[in-house]
Amino acid sequence: MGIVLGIDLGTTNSCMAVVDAATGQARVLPNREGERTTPSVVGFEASGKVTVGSAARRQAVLHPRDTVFGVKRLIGRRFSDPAVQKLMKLLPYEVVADPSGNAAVRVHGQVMTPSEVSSQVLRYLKESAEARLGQSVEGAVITVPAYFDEVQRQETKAAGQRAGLTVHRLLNEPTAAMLACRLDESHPENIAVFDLGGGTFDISLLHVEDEVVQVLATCGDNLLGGDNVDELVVEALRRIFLKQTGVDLSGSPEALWRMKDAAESTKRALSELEQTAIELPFVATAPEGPLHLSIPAFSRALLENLAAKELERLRAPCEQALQDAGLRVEDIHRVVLVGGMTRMPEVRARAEKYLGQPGERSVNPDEAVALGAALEADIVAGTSPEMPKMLLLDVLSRSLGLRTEGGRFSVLIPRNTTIPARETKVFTTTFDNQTHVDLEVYQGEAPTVDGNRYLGELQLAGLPAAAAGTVRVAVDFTIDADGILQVTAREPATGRKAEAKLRPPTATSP
Amino acid sequence: MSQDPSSPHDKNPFEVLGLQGTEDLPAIRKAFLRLAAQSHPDRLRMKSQEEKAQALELFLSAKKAFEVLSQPDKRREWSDRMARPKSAPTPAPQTPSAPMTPPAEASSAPVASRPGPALTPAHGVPVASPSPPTPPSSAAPRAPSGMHPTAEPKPASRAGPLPAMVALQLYKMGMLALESSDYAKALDLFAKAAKVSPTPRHQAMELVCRGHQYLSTRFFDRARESFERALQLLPECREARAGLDQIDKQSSRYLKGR
Repeated sequence: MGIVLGIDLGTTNSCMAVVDAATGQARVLPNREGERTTPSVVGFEASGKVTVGSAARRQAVLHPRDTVFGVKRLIGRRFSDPAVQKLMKLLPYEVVADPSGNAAVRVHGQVMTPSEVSSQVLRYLKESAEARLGQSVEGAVITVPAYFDEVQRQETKAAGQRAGLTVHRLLNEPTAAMLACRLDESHPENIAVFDLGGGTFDISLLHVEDEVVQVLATCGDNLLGGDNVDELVVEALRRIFLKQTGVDLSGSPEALWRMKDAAESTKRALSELEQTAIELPFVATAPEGPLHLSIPAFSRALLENLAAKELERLRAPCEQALQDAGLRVEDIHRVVLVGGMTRMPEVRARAEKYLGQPGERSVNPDEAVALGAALEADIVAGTSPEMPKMLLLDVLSRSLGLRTEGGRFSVLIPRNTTIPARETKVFTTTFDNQTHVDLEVYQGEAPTVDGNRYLGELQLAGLPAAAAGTVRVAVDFTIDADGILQVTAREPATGRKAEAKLRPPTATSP
Repeated sequence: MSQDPSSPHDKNPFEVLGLQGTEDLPAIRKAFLRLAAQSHPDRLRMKSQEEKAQALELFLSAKKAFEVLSQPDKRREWSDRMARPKSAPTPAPQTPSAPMTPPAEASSAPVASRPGPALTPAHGVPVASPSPPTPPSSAAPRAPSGMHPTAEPKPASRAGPLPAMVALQLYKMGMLALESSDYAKALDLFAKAAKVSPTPRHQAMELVCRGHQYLSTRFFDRARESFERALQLLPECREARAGLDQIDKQSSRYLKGR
């Protein structure tokens, strides 16, 4: 049996780790260039050659249209999704709809799904690990934001399989980070994991007791992260430049890339410094000569002002999670901060404000998730001789249910239910002489199915013809520990049965 | 298969978790986490499919019990019922599954169950509408059916916990405890099982656990006596044989060590 990696497939950076079979300790594996984290950037050359990581990032300024980054924000989304529509205006590469209407990217006239792009990153990580370990890598545990829905999860899994990895499990990022934390097992504790990464925000509340980690509730925002702040800074730079020179840079992908780079490094610098300078020479050319963008003092206060509105969005998920877990702020014993964005002082301040405790710096925010994934890989696909002691009880992050009459959404398994889980609910027919029912499975929190995500359907036919409401159908949802949903419909009177393993559709979602 | 999900409803969730009925939430959580640690699929990756499926049932029933008891009013209700003599569990005013259904749905259910203006034809076939899950508001419009729809999937549950079912559940949990060498817990569970349904199997297992407890404190002769009595009760009891073998091994090692 080959090595099983733990991979944190991030929006902006990815990281991998492996558990040392001899010691049971997880360690980060550097990539081929020797970096501990790999930028999730993929460059496609016209010749068909693909570059990944820092190499792709370096050539991005020259080939902004052929360099794809941040696809995690597009994965498993419909092209018509307002979030995608808003996002594509800011991206230097081309976002299109694939034949089935999902968001995809087009590079050199070729349409690729986000999952295909992600698989390039995963393949690069896999090959780096193989080169470093001198052993073949068989599979991986890949982390996803806790708030990803089933379609996004399936697409991530597909990316892993495309890269030649057996995906043993998809693990929620905050939970993974928790596994990497040093735990105090002497008494039960409630821990909040506040995970603000490049593109997603997750908050998970966990209860730790006797080597069992029980997730109490999880919530988040899949479109809130460091990239949002970067984009705000880019927008500010563009406006400043427009004011200074009268030239609008929004039509120039090269300039956008350089500003994005500058925005990110400015943001990082301002986590430590009170102010920093931005110098971008030769960003544009005017008839009278080259133009430079120069801001001698970009202050932390300015950054915080720009980001204030976005960061305010951190509040609602925190409050929701506390409510779902049935906890008050005083019940939280520790707050663990994960994700590069938690270096920003303003983010730390907000985490403390919403969760009542100062965040701990004990874990490396960039690596904790990958380390936790490696530990989980050891638990589920174990290579170390001794049985790992830790056990993880994770939850379903979004409610699962069925479409009922009038497009209403009837929840079978509510969000934050511990998995594995099983729920049965009895439904009746809507019409006289109705002989079959279509069970459409949706996921989400909206009261009607229109606001929720379609996952798939199955049909139970051959029902006895009878008056409306007299034929009963028992529907049973089972989620196993790997998060696979099995739906069974049964008509108790005749014993007729239909069942389906739900493989969320990437093709025809209504 | 769908009988299984109903089985946790047949018995008091406190019993499912092996508790007395007086515990507070932290203790209930502890009991649940302990059962979960024994029966979670991740802990059984080396075991056979059958064992995994069995453990999953146990996990699901423990989880259900914990979910029910997490709600303070349900906890009080079940605690009261636990305090009453076990032989006559009167049906509760509400079915135990009622709290599982979100209240918002109860109000919408009667509307949905009428044919009414069908808004679904866009998708060709009307899908099922939820049968009213909670009695008070929704039973009225469906008076002709005469019974609560929720009673449907679990036929025998009205009659109270079936001793055989309870004993089986206790027995299964006892076996898990035994497997993880938690003899005190296993002894307690088997003793309860034997009380509910006094079969030779349950009584023998009770003796086996007692034997193991003696063994762990090096009372070899008493351990031997327990195992032998278990064998008398149930000659094919493998656990008792294994226990006797263990005594032989351990006692010789112990004597050598001396």
